[in-house]
Parts: sequence; structure tokens; C-alpha cells
Amino acid sequence: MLQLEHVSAAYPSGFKLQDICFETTEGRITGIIGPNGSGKSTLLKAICRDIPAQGSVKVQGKELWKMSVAERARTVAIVPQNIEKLPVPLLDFVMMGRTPFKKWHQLSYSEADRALAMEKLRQVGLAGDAEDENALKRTLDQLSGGERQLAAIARALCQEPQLLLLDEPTANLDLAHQVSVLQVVGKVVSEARADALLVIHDINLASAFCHDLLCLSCGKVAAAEKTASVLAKDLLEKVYGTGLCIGRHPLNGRPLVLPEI
Amino acid sequence: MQNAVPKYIFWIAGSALLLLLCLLLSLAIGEMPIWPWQWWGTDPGSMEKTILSQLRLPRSLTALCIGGMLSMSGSILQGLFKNPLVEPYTLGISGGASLGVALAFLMGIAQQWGSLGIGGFAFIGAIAISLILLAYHRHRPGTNNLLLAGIMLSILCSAATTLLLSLSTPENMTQIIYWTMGSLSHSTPAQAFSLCGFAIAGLCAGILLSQRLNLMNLGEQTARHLGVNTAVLVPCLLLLTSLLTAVCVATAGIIGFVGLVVPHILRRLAGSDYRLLVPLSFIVGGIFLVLCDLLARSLVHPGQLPVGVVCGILGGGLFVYLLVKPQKKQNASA
Repeated sequence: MLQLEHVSAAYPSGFKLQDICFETTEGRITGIIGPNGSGKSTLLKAICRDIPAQGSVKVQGKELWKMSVAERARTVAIVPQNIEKLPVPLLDFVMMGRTPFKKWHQLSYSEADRALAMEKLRQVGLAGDAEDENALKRTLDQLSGGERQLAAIARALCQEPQLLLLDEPTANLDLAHQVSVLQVVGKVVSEARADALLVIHDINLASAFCHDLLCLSCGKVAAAEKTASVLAKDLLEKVYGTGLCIGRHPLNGRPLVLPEI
Repeated sequence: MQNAVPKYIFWIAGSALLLLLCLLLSLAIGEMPIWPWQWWGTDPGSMEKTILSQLRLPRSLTALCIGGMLSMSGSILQGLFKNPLVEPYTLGISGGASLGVALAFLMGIAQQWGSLGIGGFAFIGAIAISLILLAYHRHRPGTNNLLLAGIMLSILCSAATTLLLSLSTPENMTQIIYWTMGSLSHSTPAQAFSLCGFAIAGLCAGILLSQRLNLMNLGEQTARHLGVNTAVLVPCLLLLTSLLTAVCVATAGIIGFVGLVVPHILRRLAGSDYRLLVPLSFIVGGIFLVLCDLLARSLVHPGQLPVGVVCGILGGGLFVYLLVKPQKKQNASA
């Protein structure tokens, strides 16, 4: 469970994240929504201590910011928005998630690390049941954008975290890859009984995959509740500053948000 | 990693064998050709034995250690900064050493203390720059900031050295300029063996940190997210490379391009896994400088060329060739 208490952060440019308080529930996906510049990615950076921030962040009751770098990496894993096209083989990339569990003088990964990386690759659908050496030897620059996202998720899962942070995991992906990435996130979060906090721009995808939503506006919390409660016409129109229609998905009955055009 | 072991063995064993051959060649070739087996077949006080033990072996070992340390420092810094153009000289470390030497000449310390004074001041200059860089890194973290600060310091040191040159006597000016050309001609057995100890210690430290460098290759932030304490690792790597470079500069003057060209070529050939690249850079850097030194003392008779000049010409030529040559797709492992 993630608890944020009075978290504030500021950039030299003047943008501020102000007094963010909310908590997530175990095994659930929480989406962070809000217009551009509302502080979604900044909040993730603040949680990870990538930017100076004040307040308190607790994961399972433990202060995240007081942990060592390695302990923090064993507690929280991050899937960045962009994964560089590096000439790094897929399996090696995923095994890097075992780094927080290694001693500083260990130069290579163990067989157990390799087996875990294989399991996570299978979990995200990048490896079949049989070990396909050629598939594992593919380098990151030979993978599609969606496959790289899945590889980054597999690497994050190798960290065996209690909290998974995803910064716009569906950005720049086609619809099929958006769905498959979010389905994988949903599956692994429920299996690992971890929390997931993901920044997402597409409100309808958030409606379909997130249990709870945190809506930010100008660096402040506009709403933090169950998905159906946050996706209300008045609130969204106020936050996004545009006219919206809220309907129902014909198959699952979840809120469907469309612009009023 | 498991699948990469035969590749590592191939590269390390192959390059080590080549290094041995180059060392033997370097011991044999000179104004008086001496084959290494003559070491055992001659009297203890013979001319051949004296030349080998007092001149050629120390000189070749010095070349091997300096080439190895400079090249390894280059590969570590290129990994740290994710920039193939970074080497110890880009960060201003050699600039600091040059400034120290110019000061030693201007203050009369070089004349009074000889090579000890020159070496000491070069060392102080190089370490001063790295300490400034470290202090700056604490104040403003990030490898890009550090690189910019290094380039600025390098320019400042260069300007200050030129100022000191203009203030010095013609005799001092000649000595400073000759020193900046780089030379291995003053190598002594004691110096060579202490340098070997230093190089081995540096190599071990580099190998131990190489896995962390692979993660730094993903970016400083990602490395931190994966549990690497970059606040400790970055200063450690910077201090290690500064120390190695300072020792090289204090021993042999300015020898450029080794730290830039060798890791650059090796990354293209052997991939960007720093667990291989770090030791391989050491060995191939050693080979490169041993061969450059061999050319420096064989091309001109009588006398010899400054090894820094030969290194610059060969290294620069190779680098231009690499820039002009069309690139093939890399297939590296990390």
C-alpha cells in the first residue's frame, strides 16, 4: 500500500506540486490523470526522489525516502516512458532488474536470476514456454515500441517490487499494443499483489483498466477516488477546461468520455 | 552472461597474446637488436642484459601501463558520460597537469627537484581539477553538467598555461613545450615496477565497477532506479580515472588520443559490455602505446620522436578513418 502525505515539490521554472495526499489499496491499479502540465510525471519523479520533494511517502508503512538506494529499488520499480534503443540483448536487459539483490562485487547474474528473468519474460508474453535463444538474443533496438515497454515491465517485475510505477506506458503505442501492455500490467499486479500507479493520458483506457484514479490539476489533487466516481462530467470539464460527454461502454458499462464536438 | 563467456575468453586471451608479442618485439628492436632469450644466455654484467633490464624493459612496461591506464580511463569515462568523445583530456585533467608543470618550471621547482618536482606538480594539478569536478557534481548532480564543467576547466587551464608560457624564459618555454609532447625516455626500473603495481590495482578496481557501468549506460536515473547508488559511483569512477590519468601525466607528460581512440574502436569490434570493454581497453591500450613507443624510438636515427607526437598522428589518423568509414550495425551485449 502506498501512502502519500503532504508531498510537495517544485521546479526552478516555478511549477509546484502542492500538498499531495492520497493512498492506494493493495493489488489495485491507480491511474493518474490530468491535463498536460498538471504534475502527473512530476509526482512519479517526486516519489522516486528524482527531484527534491518534501512530505512523506510510505510503502507498506515504511518511509520510502529513508531507504537506501538498493532497498528503494527492491520496493519500487519504475517503467519509464521512453526506453532507449540500445544494443542490449533482451534477456540481459531484463536481468538488470536483479541488480538491487546483487552484492557490489558480483560481476554476473546467477542462474536463478536468469530463470526469474525468463519467467517474467514469459509473463509479459515476450518469451514462449520453450527457451528460444534467438528471441532472447534480440537487442532492444530490434524490438518494437510495444515490445520495449513489455521488456521494461519484465525488468521492473524482476525487482519484485511492492509498488510498480509506470510513466505513460501506452504513449506512442498503437491501440493493440496499448491494450496488451495494460492487460499485462493488470495481470502481473494481481498475481504479484503489488500496487501499480500509472500516469495515463487516455481517460477511456484509464476507465477500462484502473481501479482508482488520482486526478491532478495545476499540481494539486482535484479528486482521488474510485474510477467511476472521478469520471464525472462536472469534475472533468472543470479540470480539462473543455466540454465533455460521459456515456457508458456498451460491453462493460464503464464510463466512456468523449469530447463535446 | 553465460553465453558470452567464450566471447570474453577469445577477446581477452587473443589480446593478451598480442600484447606479449608486442612486448617481445619492443624488447628486441632498437639500435642494438637483442633477442629476449639473450637475457638468459649472457653474463650478468653484459651490455645486452644491461640494455634490456635498465632501458628497454622499464620503458616497455611504462608504455604498457600508461597506455593501459589511459585507455581504460577513457572507456570508463565514455560509459559514465554515455559519450564516445569523452576521455581524461576532455574533462580537463590533463589541462590541470599541464598547468601544474608550467607552474613548476616558472617557480623554479622543476630545476631544483627535477622529475620529482614536475611529477608532483602535474599530479597536484590533475587532482585539483578532479576535486573541483567532484565538488561541482555534489553541488549540481548530472553527468551532462559534469561534462560541461570539465570542458570549461580544460579551456581555462589551457589559457592559464599559455599565459604562464608567455611569462616564462625562453629556456623554460622550450622545456615545458617538450614535456607537453610526452616522452617515455626517462623510464627507470623502479618507476616501471611501481607503475605496474598501480596499473594492476587500477585494473582490478575498473573490473569490479564494470557491471555498474553497464547500468550507467542506460542513463544515470535508470541506474539509480535499479539500485545503483550513483551519488557514490560517479565520484568513485571520476576519482579512479583522475588518479590513473594523473599518474600517467606525471610519469610521461601529455599523451593524447589513447583514451579516445582505443575504447572507441573496441566498442565497435567487441560490443559495449563494460565487463569485457574495461579489461580489453587496458590490454589494447597497452599494445597501442608499446607500438607507438617502438615507432617513436625506431623511426629517426639518431635520436627519437616524442611518443605523444606518434600517438597523436596514429590515433588521429585512425579516428579520422573511423569517422569517414561507413558504420556497420553494432551487436553488443550489456
